[in-house]
Amino acid sequence: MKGIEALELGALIEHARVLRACMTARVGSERVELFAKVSHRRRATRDATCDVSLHDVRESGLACRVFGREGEPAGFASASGVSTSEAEWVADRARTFEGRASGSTPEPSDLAGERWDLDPADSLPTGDSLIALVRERKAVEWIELGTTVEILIGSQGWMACRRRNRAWLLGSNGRGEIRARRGFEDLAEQDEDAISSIPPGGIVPTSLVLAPSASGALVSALVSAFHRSNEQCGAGLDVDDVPAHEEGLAGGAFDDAGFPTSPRPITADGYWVPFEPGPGNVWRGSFRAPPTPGTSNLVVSPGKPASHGDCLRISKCRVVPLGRDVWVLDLETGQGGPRFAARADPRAVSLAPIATLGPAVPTATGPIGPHLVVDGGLLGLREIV
Amino acid sequence: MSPDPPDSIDAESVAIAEAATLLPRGDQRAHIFLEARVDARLDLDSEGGRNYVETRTRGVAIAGPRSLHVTDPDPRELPALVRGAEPSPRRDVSRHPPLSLRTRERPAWRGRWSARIVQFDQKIWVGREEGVVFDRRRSCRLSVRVGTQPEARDELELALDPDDPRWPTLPDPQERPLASPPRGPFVGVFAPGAAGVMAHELFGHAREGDVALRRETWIASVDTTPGVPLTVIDAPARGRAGWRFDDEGTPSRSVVLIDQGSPAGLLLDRACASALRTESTGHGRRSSYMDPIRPRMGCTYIEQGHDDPDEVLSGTRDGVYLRRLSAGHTDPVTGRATFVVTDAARIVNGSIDQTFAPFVIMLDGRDVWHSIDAVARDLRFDSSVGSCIRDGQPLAVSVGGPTIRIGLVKVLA
Repeated sequence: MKGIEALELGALIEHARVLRACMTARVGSERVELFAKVSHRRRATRDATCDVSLHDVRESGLACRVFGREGEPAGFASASGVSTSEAEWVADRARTFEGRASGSTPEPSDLAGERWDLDPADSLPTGDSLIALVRERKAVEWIELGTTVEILIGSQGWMACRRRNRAWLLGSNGRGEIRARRGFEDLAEQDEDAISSIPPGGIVPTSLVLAPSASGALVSALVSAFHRSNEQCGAGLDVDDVPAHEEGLAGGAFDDAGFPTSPRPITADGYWVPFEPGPGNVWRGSFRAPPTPGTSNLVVSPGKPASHGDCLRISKCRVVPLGRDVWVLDLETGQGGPRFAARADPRAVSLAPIATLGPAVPTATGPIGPHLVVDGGLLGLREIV
Repeated sequence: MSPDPPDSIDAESVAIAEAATLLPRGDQRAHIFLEARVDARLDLDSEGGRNYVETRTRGVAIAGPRSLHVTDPDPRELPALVRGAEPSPRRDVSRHPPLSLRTRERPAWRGRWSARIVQFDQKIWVGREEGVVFDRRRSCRLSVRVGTQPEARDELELALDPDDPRWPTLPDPQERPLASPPRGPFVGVFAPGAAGVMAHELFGHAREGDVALRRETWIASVDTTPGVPLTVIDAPARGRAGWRFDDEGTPSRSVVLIDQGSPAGLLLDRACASALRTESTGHGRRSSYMDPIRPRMGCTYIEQGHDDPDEVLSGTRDGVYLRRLSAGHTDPVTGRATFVVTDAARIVNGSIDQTFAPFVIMLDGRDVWHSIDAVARDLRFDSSVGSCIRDGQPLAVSVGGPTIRIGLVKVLA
C-alpha cells in the first residue's frame, strides 16, 4: 500500500497488471487495454479573507478499452479509483460497446515490452513551504504543484509509463494570467514586462501585443479550426506540434494509445498543413475520455523582433466561434475591464502580420509561445462605446 | 431534485459521523464531504449514430484550513485521515451506491438532426460536528441541432426530467436566409427565459460572497434608483440540478440579490459568512470532491412583474427580440458582460421580423439597471441550460426570467 501512496513506480505497475488481469478475466476473449492514473497535487490559495489555505489532492482513476474482432471502434468506460471492483465495472461497461471510442485508432502491436517517459522522481514541496511561499508573495493568488503517473498496458502485454511534474500559478494582478511549467521550480518570480500601455479613450491602438496566455488561446483556436485544411495562413505564423517537448505540459514520447510520437508541422511555408490522424497523435482529455486524434504541445516559433509602439497589451483572450467562420476576441486588459473587442474572419486573422517579442514559454491554455504582435486593424479591433 | 433517503445510511453516514467527531471544534470550514456520482453522455443522430459513455466517481474531501481530497477511500479509514494519516488509493473491493442512468431509445424525429444528452446523478454526504446530512442532485440536459444550416440558432436546449423517457417535440427547421447582425445599440426585448443568462452573469456573479469580499463590485457603487422594476433571486432548491443542502452541509435558502432595484443579499458559504459575521446561505459548492468550496449560484432568475408580454413586444417600435443567449462572460468589477446571441429577430412596429445571424452583445450592468422599463408576468426557466465555470470548476446551473425590455443593448460583433 505504501508504494501507491508514494507514487512508487514498481508498486503502481504491479497493481496495474493486477487490475488488467481482472479486466481480462471479466471480458473473456476480447482484447483489453488498461489506462490508469494516480496523482498527488498540492495547492496553496489566498482566500477571500487573505488567509492562505492548503488543498492536498490524491486522485486516481482507470479506463478500459475493449477491442472487437471486426475493427470497429473500441468499447470504452472509466471510473475513479484503482480498486479491483472498479476494474471489473469498467470492463463490464466497455465490453457492451455502448460507449465507443469513436475516432480512436487501434492499439499498437509489435512494440517494446516496456517504455518509459519519466520526469525526475522529485518530492512535492511540503504544504508548509507552499503556504509560506504564497504568504510571502503578495502578487500570487495560488500555486499548485503536482505529480501524475499514467500507466498504459496493451492487450499484448506491453506497458508504457509516464510521470509528469507540473506547476501552475495564478497571479493576483487582476489579469487572470495562469503560468504553467514542467517541474517544481519557483514560479513565483513575476517577470512583469514593460508592455502595459493603454491608449486614452477614443484611440484604437494600431497593434496588439498578446501575452503568451492570450496568444495561446488564439493559436489553439486557429489550429483547431484550420489544421485540417491547406489554406494560407501567412508566413509569419510558424506552429509545430512537438509531443516530446521538454517544456510541454502535455504529450510525451508516446501518445495515449501507446504509439511513438514525433514532431510535425502545423503550418509550413505560410500554409496550414492538412492533419493526418493516426498513430502518434491520439490523446485523452483525461482518464475519463477515450484517446482521440489531436495535438499535444503546440509550439509557436519566435519570429522577427517587432516594435510595439502604440499597442494594447492583452493578457487574456476569449475566442468564440460564431457560426462557421466568424470569431470574436473578448479582450481583457486588467485595467478597467473589457474596453476593446475584435470581430474577425479567421482567414483575415491568419493573414495578419505576426511578429514576436521575448522568449517562448509554456502556457496553461496550451501552446508554448512568445508574445505575439498582431495588427489591430486586420483583427477588426474596435473600442466598446 | 429528489429527496430520496440515502440507501446505505449504515455505511457512509455512520463512518462520516464517527470521523466528524474528530474535526476541529469551532472551525466553520471543517467538514467531511463524500460524493458518489455517475456521469453519462449519449450522442444520437438522424443517420443512426449512437454513442453512450458512462463514468462513475467516488471521493472524499476533509475540509478545513488544510484540506485533504482523496479518491475512493475506505470509509473505515476516515477517522485516521481526519487525524492526519497518509491516504492510499484503495486496491481491493470498493462499493459504489447502485446509481444508474436511464438510457433512452431513439426519438422519432423527422428530418436531419443530431442530439446530445448529458446527465448526472450525484449523492453526497456531509459530516460536521453537529451531524450528517445527505442530498441527491440529478440533471438531464438535452441539446439538439436540427436542419442543415450550421448556424447555432437551429440548436435547441432543454432540461429533461431524468425519470421521464419521453422526447420533446422538435420545431421544424427554419431554412430562411439570415439578416446581417444589427450594427448599433438597440432596444432589446428578451423572450421569456432568455434574460436569465444575463441575470446570472451580471447580477449573480457580482453577488457571490467571495467576489464581493475580495474587491468592490460594480453593484456596490451603482447609483440606485427607487422604483426600478428589477428583482433578482437565487433559489438553489429550484431548477434542474437543485440542492437542499450545500456541499458544506448547510440547508440552502433563496436569496434576493437585487430587490426592486436595490442591492440586497449575498451568496455565502461558511468562510464568507464567517468573515461577514453572519450565517451561510447554503451556497457553498464544489465541482467535485477534489475542489475547494466556493459560493456559487444555483437557479438565478428575474422575478416576474405585471406587464403583459404581448404588450411589451407590441409597444416596441424598433428593436431586437432576443430568444436565446448562449455563452456569457462577465467582469464583476466593471459590470460589463458579453453574450453570444444565437437566436434573435428584428422588431419592426411591434412585430417580429427578419431573423439575424448570430452576433455578440455587450451589456453594462448600469445600463440594464437604468434602462429596464418592462418586466412581464411570464416567468420561464431553463430555456437555456448549461454549466457555469468559475475558477476552473464547472457546475450545472439553472436560469430563468420573464419577458423584459432593456433600452440599451450594445453590439460588439
